[in-house]
Amino acid sequence: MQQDFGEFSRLEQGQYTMFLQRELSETSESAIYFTLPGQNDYLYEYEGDLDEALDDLPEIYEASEVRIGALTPQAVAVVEQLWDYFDRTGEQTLEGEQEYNFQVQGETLLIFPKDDPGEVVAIDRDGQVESNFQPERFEHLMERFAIAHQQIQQFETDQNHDRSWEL
Amino acid sequence: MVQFIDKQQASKFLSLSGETLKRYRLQGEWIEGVHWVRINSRCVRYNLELIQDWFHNRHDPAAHMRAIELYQSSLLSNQKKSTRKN
Repeated sequence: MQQDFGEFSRLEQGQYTMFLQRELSETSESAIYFTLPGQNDYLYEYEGDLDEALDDLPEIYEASEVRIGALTPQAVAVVEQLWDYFDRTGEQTLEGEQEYNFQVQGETLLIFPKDDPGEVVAIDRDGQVESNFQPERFEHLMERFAIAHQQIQQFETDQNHDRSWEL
Repeated sequence: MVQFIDKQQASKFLSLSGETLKRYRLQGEWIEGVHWVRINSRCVRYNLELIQDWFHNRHDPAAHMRAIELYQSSLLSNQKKSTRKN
């Protein structure tokens, strides 16, 4: 699948994504140039053609520490709440109270650590996750989601309790 | 997934040709492990932030060295393990 964004074309190879820099790639005789999700400050140069680069993407992901993460069930539930918030309010950003900020870009939710905006977890509407978080950081984020999920459940329980009193 | 590249970030290297990138890399103008790293036998990765700084400070090596040191100190591998709030 290919989608064009300005000078870039988004290409997918299974669960892996690259953003092909068309102008640089077309003017080069022997290399193609691309970026990877969440790595805006890096440009990749691949000696070979596009098909070879796509075949090599899994290895490049691994070497570049771009990770495809898996959300915990609690994280999935909280992410749904976040989408609901952004859809309802029309806001594009949300500053977390603790260590993470949230931003919507198109159909993707981005999560940034406050102390390192260069790291990002990207979650699309279908729940596909890409991340360049260190494993420890990703685990920590899942822990924060678990706490947030507990808080949401408690809030909903309290609301139901209030409703029963009202009735 | 969304495009992560905005116009400002893309413009960092749009003025460069592939041949220019290779030339600076192969001639040793850019330091391996700093301005670029080898991912595998066919793939290298350029650090656009540092390369942009290199262009800005071509006549001020000390200023560019500070940028390199700042970049290196920002790497997680060079940071003390942080204690996070629960």
